[in-house]
Amino acid sequence: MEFELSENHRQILELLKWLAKEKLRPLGLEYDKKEEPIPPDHPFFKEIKAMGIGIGVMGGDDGGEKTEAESRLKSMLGDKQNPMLATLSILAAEILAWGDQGVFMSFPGPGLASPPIRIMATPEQKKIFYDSFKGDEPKWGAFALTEPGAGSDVARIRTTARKEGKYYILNGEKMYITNGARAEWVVVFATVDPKLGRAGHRAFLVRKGTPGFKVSRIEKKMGLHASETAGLLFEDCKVEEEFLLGGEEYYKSKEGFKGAMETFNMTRPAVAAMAIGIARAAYEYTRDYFAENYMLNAVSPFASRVRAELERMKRKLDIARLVCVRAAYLMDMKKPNAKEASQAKAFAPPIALDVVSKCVELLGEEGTLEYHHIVNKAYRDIKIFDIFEGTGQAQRIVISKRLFASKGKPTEWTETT
Amino acid sequence: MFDFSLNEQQDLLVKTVEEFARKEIREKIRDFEEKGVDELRKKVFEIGLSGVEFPEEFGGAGMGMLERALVLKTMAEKGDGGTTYSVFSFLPPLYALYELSDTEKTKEIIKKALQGKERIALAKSGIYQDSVTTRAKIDKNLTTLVVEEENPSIIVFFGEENGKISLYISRKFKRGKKLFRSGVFSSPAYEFNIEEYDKVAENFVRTEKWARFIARVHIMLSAICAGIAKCASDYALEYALERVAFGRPIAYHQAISFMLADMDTTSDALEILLLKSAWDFDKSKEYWQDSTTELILESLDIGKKVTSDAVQVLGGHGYIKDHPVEKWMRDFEDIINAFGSPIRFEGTIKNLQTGF
Ligand SMILES: Cc1cc2nc3c(=O)[nH]c(=O)nc-3n(C[C@H](O)[C@H](O)[C@H](O)COP(=O)(O)OP(=O)(O)OC[C@H]3O[C@@H](n4cnc5c(N)ncnc54)[C@H](O)[C@@H]3O)c2cc1C
Repeated sequence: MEFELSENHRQILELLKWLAKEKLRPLGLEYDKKEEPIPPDHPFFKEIKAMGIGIGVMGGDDGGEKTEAESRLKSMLGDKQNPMLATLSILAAEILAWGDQGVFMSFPGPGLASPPIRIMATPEQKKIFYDSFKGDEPKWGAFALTEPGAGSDVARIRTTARKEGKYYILNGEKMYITNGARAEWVVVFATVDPKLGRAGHRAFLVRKGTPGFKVSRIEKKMGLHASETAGLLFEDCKVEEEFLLGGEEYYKSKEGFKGAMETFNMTRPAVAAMAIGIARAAYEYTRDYFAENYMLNAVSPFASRVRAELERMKRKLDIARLVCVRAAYLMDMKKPNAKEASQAKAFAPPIALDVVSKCVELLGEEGTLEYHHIVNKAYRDIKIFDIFEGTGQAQRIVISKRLFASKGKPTEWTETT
Repeated sequence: MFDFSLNEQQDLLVKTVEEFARKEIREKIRDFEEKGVDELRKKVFEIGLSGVEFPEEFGGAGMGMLERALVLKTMAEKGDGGTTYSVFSFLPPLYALYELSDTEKTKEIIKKALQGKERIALAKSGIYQDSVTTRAKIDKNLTTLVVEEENPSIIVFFGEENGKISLYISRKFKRGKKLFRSGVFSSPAYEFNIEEYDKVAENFVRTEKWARFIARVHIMLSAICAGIAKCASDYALEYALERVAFGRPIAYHQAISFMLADMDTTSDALEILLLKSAWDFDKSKEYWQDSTTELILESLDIGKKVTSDAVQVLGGHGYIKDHPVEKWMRDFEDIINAFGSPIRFEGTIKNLQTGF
């Protein structure tokens, strides 16, 4: 057993911490006040693209196409047998979210499109996809599953895919899609026949500019303003059959839908770690504020309460982080981690919300004002973490199903079970 | 880099304990409540689990608190927490002697105790400096000390003399009344009147040695509590998959399945924290003290919730002694508070940094 970073990993995280503090933080606060997403042509995106940093560039190695950034990272880590990229990437996610989560989510790169590509795509698709991210121009990828009528219950998606010759014709609406309007590629989940349920699901790679693919709206949100959340419309959108993710063969085994689900085993621990990063930022800010005001060692009922609350926050963040690290570690070891990934996602966000709201409360009358912008911003940013990438309730459903299966029992109750 | 796997030695240790706990403990936990654990403790010594974490020169196996934590957690999880606590009640006094006193005499005591030749017990009243004073005032009235052992050969205790706390041992004492207690019946608690005593260590309060002693006790208690949380969670799961209400096993009602998911998640989290804190201690990481403090406080939060939820999942049946969950709920509070309330450690974390 070992519970510490290697020197190489530490150096990478320190570099990211610098970036988070100097670049992400100020930009995030700026766009939080503006209440709008950072425009895609903002120079910041070119800047970090040039540094080789992006979302979806690492996390799990399935022997598929390596992105430039990933190869570079691997060489930085030395030729170790297991570079532990999933573990590294969740700790990186924590640090970047600590800088600013909204800005982090708008990093250019394959983003949430990457995990389904890695899991489902054919080698040719991987090549086309990852090659398009090469070069100096920042580009984005997006993952479009949620619809107006289907969120947690993904099996209810109603976007249809109809085969016509060498094309699939997509019709339907997707909503709340991160980076959806600026994305070069969107992985779109659709159904060939709603009556088939999950067996009817197909995923497509849809490129920006494909006729019939439109952006319908940009959402206004409680927080995460720097990040773009878009509604997408598909009206007789013609997608070449080569862009059916994984090819026809992939879906013969009725496992198409599983692709979307496996994606989450990679992303859930990372999203949980982001929640920890946001809470850590609020916590550290609050701790330092009280330290500067001589409150940490002062003798008064409130001062000792502040001290105890801060310790409690630190303790909760510490244990939540370990749960995330364990889930990512299993991924690095190529071991099943579906339950552990959901545990991380179920466990960390409520703790993070609790920490952040306590920070606001300790700061009192000024906590919600501009004086402590980082903290009240964290309060508005954090809530969504118990909702997207599967709500807290959805995670508990996954965990309990795994528990039932571990006892040889059916995962769901039906009258015939 | 991070590694959550067990090495070969640890793996073997865990498997041995697991088998032992299933065979020798799980089915008989109510017997131990009635008859105590003397026979069981002999068997535990026979399979070499007495001094896992003590150096070889003391007759131990030369491993660390991580291995000790694995032994205790596994025995509590696959067997029973209260029974595990009773079997290993010789550890806290040995930790005190080992960390605080380094005379030949104490070394001999430790060696003998690890061979099962001493019945050693630590007085419950207060291993923490602010809780010693209530009973053990050496100069005035060394009043009755509480010890969880019917016939100890040595009682180790902290006492206060002229405002200064030292460590004492006694071989001459009189057993008084048996105290009513609410959990861990396998360790009956008695009052003892100390008649003669020797000072074996002094000037340790707030030193690193003292902190190491407390950290060891915290790891020990937390390991048992983590084991209790895991077995309570698992027991509730199995029960919920069988018990039918409103047309289906209750596990398939979401109010119950979400509870089961949370019990599983939090008890897993506690287990990970346990292993990390024990590892920090063994490696003398600069923050080992904070780390073990966080552990005991988290054991308190999580253990309390999980053991009570387990009773809730079983409903009225959980409240009745036909099932072990009521025992785990009672035992938990006894064990986590065994030598004083962990709540006193709130407000003692030195380093407020979080993150790797
Ligand atoms: C900022 C933002 C970014 C997003 N980014 C993306 C993205 O990039 N791609 C994407 O595809 N989606 C994205 N989403 C959508 C997000 O994943 C969904 O909102 C989420 O999955 C929940 O779905 P829903 O909103 O339809 O809620 P619903 O599914 O309608 O749930 C409503 C409530 O009911 C509960 N509930 C539902 N079913 C059950 C059940 N069986 N048992 C118990 N409780 C239940 C839920 O937990 C929740 O509390 C984003 C959303 C936001 C706000």
